[in-house]
Amino acid sequence: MTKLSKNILDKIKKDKIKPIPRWQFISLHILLWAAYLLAIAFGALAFSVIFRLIGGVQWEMVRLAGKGPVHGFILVLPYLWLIILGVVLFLAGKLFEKTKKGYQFKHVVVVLSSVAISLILGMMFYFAGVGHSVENSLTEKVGPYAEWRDSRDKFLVVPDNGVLVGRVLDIKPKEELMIIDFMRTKWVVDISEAFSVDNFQPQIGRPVGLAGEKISDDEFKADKIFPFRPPKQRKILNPLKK
Amino acid sequence: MQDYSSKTDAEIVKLTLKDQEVFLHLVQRYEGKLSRYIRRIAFVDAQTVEDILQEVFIKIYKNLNDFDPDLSFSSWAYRITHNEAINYLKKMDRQKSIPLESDDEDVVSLIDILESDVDIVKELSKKELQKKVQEVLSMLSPDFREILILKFLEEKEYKEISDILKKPMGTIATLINRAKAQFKQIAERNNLTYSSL
Repeated sequence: MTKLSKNILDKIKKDKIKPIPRWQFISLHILLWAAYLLAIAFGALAFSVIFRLIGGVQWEMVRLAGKGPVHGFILVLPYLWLIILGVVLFLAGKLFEKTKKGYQFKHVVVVLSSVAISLILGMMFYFAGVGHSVENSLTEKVGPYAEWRDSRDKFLVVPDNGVLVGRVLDIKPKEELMIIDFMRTKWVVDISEAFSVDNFQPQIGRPVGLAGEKISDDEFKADKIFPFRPPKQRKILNPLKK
Repeated sequence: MQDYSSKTDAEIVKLTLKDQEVFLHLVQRYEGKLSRYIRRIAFVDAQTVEDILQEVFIKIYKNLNDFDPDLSFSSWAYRITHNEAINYLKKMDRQKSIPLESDDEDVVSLIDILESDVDIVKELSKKELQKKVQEVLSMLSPDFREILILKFLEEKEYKEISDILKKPMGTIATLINRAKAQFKQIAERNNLTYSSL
């Protein structure tokens, strides 16, 4: 027996050192995997909300409000959710690397795989209406989120370009709408000759999109009425729904 | 006393979990290799090597239930040793300036790296050559130094180095190439090759 092995055995006996029980390691590994899967699920949720936010956009209104298609697309991107998605997937990558065999994979492969899994799950969530439910709940129950949502859509309040979005305050069917836009200006909108896209029926308290012409500082004549932030995805984007 | 020399490391790990005395055989099997590895990467005196090694074996003993039989015990033990040595260096803040000491045998192995591509100055005496190679080693970044030590002095395979350093195999191959390139570059700057003359 060498001096070192004797010292080690003496220390083990003297300090009553015992091997850490196997169940503790197994629990730790399970926790790590659970945290990774949770991060992927959050990533999928973020993807489904992003699809909802981009998929629900009325591109005709964006075209009118923006300075060309690229500018319009930049305005439409939901940066808050893109940041959340980035953080969650970065965490997922780090958690995967901490798993037993995680180090055997290149960082880029881990990140891209996590993105791919979240993307596929996110599409499934989107078609199942999860993105809509999450988005609607956040808008209704979380004040700051609703404010962010309205401020994000302010770029669509450009009456001089013939485009307006806001919440319906009052309705005179087939004649007039009273709305308050996301810049807090009230408008009387003539809808007597307006075409309603997707047979959309405006409702008091809900958002509406309008394309047409500004008549005065508080009057607007609409050519088209668009569904804006519909509570459910449009049929064309919902192949799972009968 | 039972003969454990024919038993595999994994078998001894299993037996140690039933009888702590068996752990002695693992210690005896690895203390030489691991103490040499600590000395090579941490450049510390014999007493410190022993202190680090004791901590390494205690950690190995505590974590025996986490040993994955898919991994070789050797790689697992080297990984724990690497972590302990790095922690020691961080504590001592000695990663940047290391008083380098290495064996003649080590120096000869490292000269092989140079000889594969460039001619080493033959006029240098053995003593001068050793001094120069030691200087070159001390100038390498710690990551590159350790990967050269694992590949050329510890003679580990890529898979083993990947398991020890917890890096993908592709990254290990890249790191070895870069470390070799840096070693040769510094060697040239220090008049260790014909190409710089």
